[in-house]
Amino acid sequence: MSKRDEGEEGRRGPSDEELVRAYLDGDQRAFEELVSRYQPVVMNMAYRMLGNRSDAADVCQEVFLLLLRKLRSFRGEAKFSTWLYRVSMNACHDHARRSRRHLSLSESPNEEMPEMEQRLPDDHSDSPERSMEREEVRGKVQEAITRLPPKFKEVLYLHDIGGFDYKEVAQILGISLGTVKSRLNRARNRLAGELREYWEQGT
Amino acid sequence: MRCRKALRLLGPLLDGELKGEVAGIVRRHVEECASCARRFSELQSLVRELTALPEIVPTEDESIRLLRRLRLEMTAPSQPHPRHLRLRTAAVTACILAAVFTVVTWALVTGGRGKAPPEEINAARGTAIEETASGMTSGRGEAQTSAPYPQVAGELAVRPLLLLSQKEYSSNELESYREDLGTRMAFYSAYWYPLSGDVDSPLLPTLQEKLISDLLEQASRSGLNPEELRKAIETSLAQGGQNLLPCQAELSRLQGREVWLVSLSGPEDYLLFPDPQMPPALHLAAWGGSESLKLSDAFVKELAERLLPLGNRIAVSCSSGEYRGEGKEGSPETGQGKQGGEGMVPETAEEDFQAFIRELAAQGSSMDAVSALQKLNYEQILMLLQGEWAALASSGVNLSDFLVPPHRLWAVDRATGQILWGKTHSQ
Repeated sequence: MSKRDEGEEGRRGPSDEELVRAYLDGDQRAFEELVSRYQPVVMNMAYRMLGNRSDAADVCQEVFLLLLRKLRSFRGEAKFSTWLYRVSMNACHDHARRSRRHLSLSESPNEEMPEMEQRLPDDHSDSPERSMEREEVRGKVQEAITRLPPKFKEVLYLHDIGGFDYKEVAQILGISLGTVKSRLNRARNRLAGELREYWEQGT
Repeated sequence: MRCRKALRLLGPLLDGELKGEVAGIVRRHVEECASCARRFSELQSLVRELTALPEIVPTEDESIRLLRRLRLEMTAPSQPHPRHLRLRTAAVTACILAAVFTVVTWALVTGGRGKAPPEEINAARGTAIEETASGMTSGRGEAQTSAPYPQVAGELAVRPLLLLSQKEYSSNELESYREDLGTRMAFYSAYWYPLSGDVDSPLLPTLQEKLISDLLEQASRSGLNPEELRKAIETSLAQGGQNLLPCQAELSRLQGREVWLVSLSGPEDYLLFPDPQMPPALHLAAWGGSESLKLSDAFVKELAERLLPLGNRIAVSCSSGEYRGEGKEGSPETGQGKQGGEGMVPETAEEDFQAFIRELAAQGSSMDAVSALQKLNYEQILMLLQGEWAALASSGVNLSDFLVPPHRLWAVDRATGQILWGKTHSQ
């Protein structure tokens, strides 16, 4: 399971599926608990997929509104988290399609991103110069992810950032294991190609 | 193994997705082939970069907005309305509080002696209290609040309270009265919570009209002129906000004159349900916005104009009481860019700010606000101007210094219809 999937693993209290049942039985707080568990998960996914915080917040809202309307169709055949990831990924693609600026390859994907991330705690006790370099590389990584075609991006996100294994990625996206391997390989090659210049400068 | 095949398997090798024998073959190839070794190293670097990307943590503001939107959706009339555990708890608590309040009110109006007041008042009050108490204790509030909202077409989930205390209040007592949200608890649980505190809900006018009619009917049964009370309520609504809900009217005395004390319920009654994870003042800020700011609009505007446009790097925009510094790198959503554009010199701004505060203190204006502002540094003052309450709270500022419950109590002269006490637009 994902190292970033804090929705369920290692959490005490009712499981996601139990919360879904409680909500369907009329307990509104159960849904709010699900939101509290998964808002960070959906925000992170949407941010990495779209490269923009306000779009990520919009998608987050769309996903949970959709969930409210569709929860009755959740049959419990798949895990709730798997289902939520799929719904969220589709919402990200839909949002990107609607928003031309995220489709434009010529535009700088996100001016505010490096600034937003600089607030986050940094484990490394780097020099200011080194920290700035790291920020720059992070910005480039995010830009490169944003430019990937959606099919590559989703596999890359789920595996390399979300921490799911190949089989889980295949389940979430409803594709074969071979397709996961192939798309991940191509996504990484593309990213590596874009970042090679930075790595060479750093060495 | 050929490089072409090895290259395809480098990823699965790194991810631990290759089985023993194949993994060994690929690993040996990488050890022997400089080109594939370089690609493998690149792959390791890439995955390291990806896993090191920082997590995005939703801000409190983002979480609040999301929850408000979802609650609105959950309580929309077209949606199946789930049983409302929190609301039921609230309703039960409201019943208890209402019962306590009724007893306290009874003690107040009887002077704690249980002595019967004049007959006319006694009869009227008896009716009001009895009906209210029976409405609450019979479980009417609880039963109806768990039904789909709103119950505007039928009986009210919680009825407004008419009191004929004739008590002489001092201005100080009215201050306490206004700050006491206890009487609005039932209103919050029955009306504002299901509406997610949305003061723009199209359901509110109908609900408001029903509440007013109920109060007027109680007044009429008590032998009072209902039109007189209607005018007092309308006067209060004109000051407080047209979509608030009249929850209590008390016939009492102020400065020797008979007055109607009209109390309006608003979404800030959320304070009655404090979230242990958030300070009550933050809730207030979330619901009350700029209305609950202790600083006057003019004061905030002056502050913003003095501080923000240094070097014309930051444009000050004023709309709906919000003043945002829109630096070129600024991100209003995240509160980034508080330092403004690249030409902004925070030290200069800090000095200017301190000088400005000294100037205000010398003028003797808004002393409370000045002393509260003096505790803030420059960055915090920008958070204040931008309404970033969560950030302000997390930086250690006590929000209560800057926020007050919105004024929702007015004393309207029974004879003239003039406001004798309470915040008016002209103030």
